Amino acid sequence: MHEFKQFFIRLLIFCSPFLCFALGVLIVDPYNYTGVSRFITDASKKSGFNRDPALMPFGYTLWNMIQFRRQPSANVLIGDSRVATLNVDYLRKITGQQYYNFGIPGGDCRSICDTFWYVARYTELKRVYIGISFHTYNDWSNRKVFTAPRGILNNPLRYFTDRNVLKTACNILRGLTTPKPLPANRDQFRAKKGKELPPQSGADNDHKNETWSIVLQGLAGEYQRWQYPESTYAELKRISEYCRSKQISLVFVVFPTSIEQQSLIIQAGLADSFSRFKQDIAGLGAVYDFDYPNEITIHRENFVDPMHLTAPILERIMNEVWGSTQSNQPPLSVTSPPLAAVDSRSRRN
Amino acid sequence: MMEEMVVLFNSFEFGLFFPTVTLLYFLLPHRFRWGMLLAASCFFYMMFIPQYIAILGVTIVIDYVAALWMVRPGLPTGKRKAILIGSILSTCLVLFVFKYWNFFHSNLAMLARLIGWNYPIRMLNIILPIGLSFHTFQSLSYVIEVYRGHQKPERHFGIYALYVMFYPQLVAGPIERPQNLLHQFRTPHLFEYQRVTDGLKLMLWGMFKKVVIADRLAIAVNHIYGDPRAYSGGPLLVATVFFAFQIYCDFSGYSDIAIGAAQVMGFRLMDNFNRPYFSKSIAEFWKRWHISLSTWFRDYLYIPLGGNRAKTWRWRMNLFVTFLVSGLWHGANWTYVIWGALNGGYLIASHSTQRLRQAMCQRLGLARFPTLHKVFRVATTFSLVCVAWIFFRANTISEAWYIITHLFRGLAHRWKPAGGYWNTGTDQAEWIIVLLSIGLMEGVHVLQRHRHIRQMLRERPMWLRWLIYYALVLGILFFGVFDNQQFIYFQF
Repeated sequence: MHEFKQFFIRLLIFCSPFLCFALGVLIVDPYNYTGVSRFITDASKKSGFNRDPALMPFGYTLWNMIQFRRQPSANVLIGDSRVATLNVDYLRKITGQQYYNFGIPGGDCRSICDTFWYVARYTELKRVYIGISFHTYNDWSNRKVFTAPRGILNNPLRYFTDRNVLKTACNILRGLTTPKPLPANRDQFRAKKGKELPPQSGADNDHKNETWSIVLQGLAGEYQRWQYPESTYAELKRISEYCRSKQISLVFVVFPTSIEQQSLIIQAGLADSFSRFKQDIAGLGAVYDFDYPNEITIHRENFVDPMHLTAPILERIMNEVWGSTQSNQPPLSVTSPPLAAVDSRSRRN
Repeated sequence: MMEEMVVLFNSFEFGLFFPTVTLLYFLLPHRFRWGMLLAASCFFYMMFIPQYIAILGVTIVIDYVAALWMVRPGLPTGKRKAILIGSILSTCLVLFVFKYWNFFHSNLAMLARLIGWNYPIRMLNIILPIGLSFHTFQSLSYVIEVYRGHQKPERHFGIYALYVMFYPQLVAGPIERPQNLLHQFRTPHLFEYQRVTDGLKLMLWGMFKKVVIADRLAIAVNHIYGDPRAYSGGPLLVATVFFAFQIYCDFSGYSDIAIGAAQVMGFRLMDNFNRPYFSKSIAEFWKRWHISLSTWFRDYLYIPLGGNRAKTWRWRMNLFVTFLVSGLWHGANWTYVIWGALNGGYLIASHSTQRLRQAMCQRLGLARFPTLHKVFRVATTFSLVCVAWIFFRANTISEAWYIITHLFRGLAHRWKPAGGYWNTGTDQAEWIIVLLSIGLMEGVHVLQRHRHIRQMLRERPMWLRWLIYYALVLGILFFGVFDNQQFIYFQF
């Protein structure tokens, strides 16, 4: 009995730091998982992961999963970082509809499918807008962003022991206690290399050029390894059939990418695959395609980096896709022209 | 489709199950403990597919009755042998139906097609009961030992059932012998601080190997072995080496958790691994890898076949047959059979070329540098084991062949990060974690050459010990992969 008692006392002492840590997570509750703690505002909590590039895919996914489970919406935006930057308040203003933005920075086609089935579990969907891109429509692209957040939702203990949750909690506390705000992330590639983050406005051309070339280098690697995603296409087809059977409006948006990114596709010998990608999605639902040489894609100043758009351009795209009557600009989204045009255009630039 | 679930050692459910069962075990008087452990083991097994407990029940009843029947006074030897064979066949029949039926029929159908015979294939659409090969072998070892007179038959049905079903080793071993385990269920175990904490430390170490190393390596290995034809050179080579460590950490991690969990309650299970990748020959490797299975095959197949006390050709055949069966035991697939044959072939080649190798060693002057010679032998053995693992892991023989023939093709090109080397489902940080963890594990293995690390730790001050334990727990929490990845050996 003495040894039994001794063991439990020591076990309690050994575990006490972990219990304190769990209590800390419970108090901060960085993703509103428990919902018991309301000491910190949602904006502060979101800053715990949306300023840390390594945390963004995990953080956005878990946050959205928890929020959506609590307050499901019939209209959902699904996609990667481009979708994540769409302003739902502006959308409400121009459409009168409430949308839930489930955009996940660092997401790919697998995460699009996972997101769709997740949101379909919690609500009767009416409108689904999917932001899709060719470089993630790739069998090699399998970032599994849902794995860890799903594990946490299935196992409450994981919320208190996950390093990403702890990191978010620390970021939140740092944000609350440090007068100087954390630098906002705009470039995962540079941030991962530990370099100073580039400006968003594009005023500092050196920074922007460096970011530009790093992103293009990464994309060139992805295009080199591009493989037709049989399983992803089958899954998207299943989603399309589901939407048809449930009378859900399914719309795909192919965001514009810079002309240089488009020319990388040709350099990698993927022109036919790019066309096939567009044919594939055209067979799945309505498509707004901005990814071809046009007045947006040929000008660098419209981009933060080769694939991320500036706020005015995003607004223009929202006006066109969601049919704003305020817009006086001609529509841009079309079926893409032959890619040979892209090549000649990019050489001229 | 039935919803299947397994109480994995690395799951949240096990985190509740284990302390509850252990606490109950120590709170209950000894006479009730076997019943509680049996109930817990049944629950553990029934979390997979509840109905399958009936299969296990049938095996238990057959072998329990057979053992009692065999020792009836005055029973002639011929009858005893007949009972033994009957018991072995009926136990193996269950294994055959669930594990080998479809394999057998698909191969028969292929043969039939070759001779133009329209063979009506009857494939079974059933899920393999978890750990079937393990408890079948444990059950078989009991009846064989009773037949040989090395073990008295267990008259208490509950205790015999517990011997087969004891939850720590129910689904993936170690495959115990009745002489080692059965009597332990009758021995009262007190709560001993040292033993309990030693067991917990072993579980912690096993968990580290499983969730930090094996499951992290699995990401890259699954990525590459899932579509090997998309790669050549570096990634294939790295994935193969990674798989060698993945399977070791996965299985030895499981064994450590099983042995540790049993030890906490006072049971001593046999060791299953002894630093196998430090082996200097394939023969030594098999004395250090999955020891409970290797010794099972040695005692119940290799020696009965005649072992090494026969003519050279017969001895080699015995060796080869034993490894072929061992391969088939692992899975109903030709890749496993080839893996077994390859290991058998290695051993035969190793014996046949012993003199030649010694002469070469003398001529090259390696004998004068024993450490260098040892390193060379360890590296060679590890390389041969890795080649065999390719067949073990590959989905088909043709994929395995592709991997072998492309291991060294375009090596330099594929090592360039921009060329896609790093895009194997893992990022650079994960590579660093995994390489450091493997380094740590091998460091511990080197330290454990003469004494167990737990003994060494006991002599250190408490603050240092606790620092190490905290580092291990934090390592598991922060660097572990918790996507409920099954243990590889559960499928066998």
